[in-house]
Amino acid sequence: MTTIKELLTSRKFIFLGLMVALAIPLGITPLGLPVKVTEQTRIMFDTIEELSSDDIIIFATQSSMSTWSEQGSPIMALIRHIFDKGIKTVFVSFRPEGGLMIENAFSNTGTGGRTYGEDYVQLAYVPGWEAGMAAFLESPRDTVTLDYFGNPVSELHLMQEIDDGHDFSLAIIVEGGDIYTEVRQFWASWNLPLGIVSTAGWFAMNLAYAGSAGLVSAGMLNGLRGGAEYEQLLGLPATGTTYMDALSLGILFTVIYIIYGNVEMYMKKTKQVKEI
Amino acid sequence: MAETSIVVSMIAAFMVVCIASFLYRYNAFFKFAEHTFVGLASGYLIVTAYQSTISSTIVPISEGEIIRIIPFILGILIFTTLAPREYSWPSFIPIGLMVGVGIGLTIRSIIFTDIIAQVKASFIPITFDIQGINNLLMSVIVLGIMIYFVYSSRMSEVVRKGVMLKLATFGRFAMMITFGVSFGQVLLAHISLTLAGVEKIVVAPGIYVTAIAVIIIGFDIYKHNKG
Repeated sequence: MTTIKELLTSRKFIFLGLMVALAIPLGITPLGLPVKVTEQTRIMFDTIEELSSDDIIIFATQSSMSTWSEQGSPIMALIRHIFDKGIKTVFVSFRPEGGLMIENAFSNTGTGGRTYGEDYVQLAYVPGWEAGMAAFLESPRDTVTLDYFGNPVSELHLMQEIDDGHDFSLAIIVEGGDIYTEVRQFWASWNLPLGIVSTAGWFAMNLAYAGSAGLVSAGMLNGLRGGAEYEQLLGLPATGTTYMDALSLGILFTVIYIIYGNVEMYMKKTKQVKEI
Repeated sequence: MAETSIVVSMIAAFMVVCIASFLYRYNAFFKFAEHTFVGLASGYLIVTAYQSTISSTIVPISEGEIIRIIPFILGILIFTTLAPREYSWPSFIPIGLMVGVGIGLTIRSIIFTDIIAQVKASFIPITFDIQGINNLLMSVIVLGIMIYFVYSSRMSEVVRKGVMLKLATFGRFAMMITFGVSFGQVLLAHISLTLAGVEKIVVAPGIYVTAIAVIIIGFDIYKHNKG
């Protein structure tokens, strides 16, 4: 006969409980829990706010589709803001799935009436990782000959305005891991202000490059939470805000289990001491 | 268009349910979803790599950029690594070149980004406000962690007492807190990653797929208990 304690600590129950906690705000009703806007998100928002339609920025997506539920909302919020401001954008990817993520974002946000080739371009995947980044910033048109859709880069008007890394005003990097390479190539080599969309797992580590180190000067979004904060600043609550409710409930469920595990361990140890 | 979207959502929900069914037990549906995912991901990567090779070498060469034949040949040479050992030496040329270029690109800026900038960031003003306290705490933590690592080396006998020991202990605690924060962030990230999947199976039309899956699992549990 299964006891309540065995049931509560079984893997199946924990996963089912977590799934139910996540499903309540997603499937039944959003809770509207408050999200405090952090300094790094504010810096990112203000940096983009200061740019004008004369500026050209680079939006490099280095994540894989598996991080979509975490990084999708910050990507979409940033695209909305960039297109709303009319900032010219070069979307590029140094990882094979980056283009797919941007296409996915466009299918949700639309392109805000911006003209492809004039206001924004989406280039093909650039292989070679660090060498690819260095080559792209040195000579974008020679490194990528076709865009994501197979059109020659020479036919894209926006690309004719770019000769090298100095022509960009800002680099927004969507990164699923560490940002060492991007800091080396975009900031140290070309002095480009960097804005990062990090995953939560890497945020604490990547933050060492922001703040007083000053290498990431245009802010850093903390995964899904960063997306929800950015949506608040835009005044357009979307996926990030809904997901954040679910995430908060999921974390609450996990914290209860962590406390329960510690109390259980403490009681077990106390009992053992008494027996001795 | 709407019909296509419903079908796509149903397929996505079916795949999520197949993967989640592993929590019940290892089964054919899980195996199907797992193999489909690996197959699709590999296929996508191969096609992307093929297209990028064509667009960055074959297309420019055909347009008269003959110089690009050099990286193309170097790329082909990598495959000689698959040949018997006495014929595999040509693969060392492109591999050596890649390693050399990689190190060259890294080394020209790593000293600044990972050493000088980080050391510079540790020298911060200590003022009489919240930021000042934060800066002071950061400086003490940096000092404590540095002493902790010196303390664990051969020099340990010199510093294993008094204030040095206290600072080293403080540094160790600070590191533990940092690792705790990192662990918490990883947990946050992992829960975030499940959200899109959960949304697909609890929102219509995916909820119907979930209902069918629950009925199938319930029937299986019943049959298992009866047996």
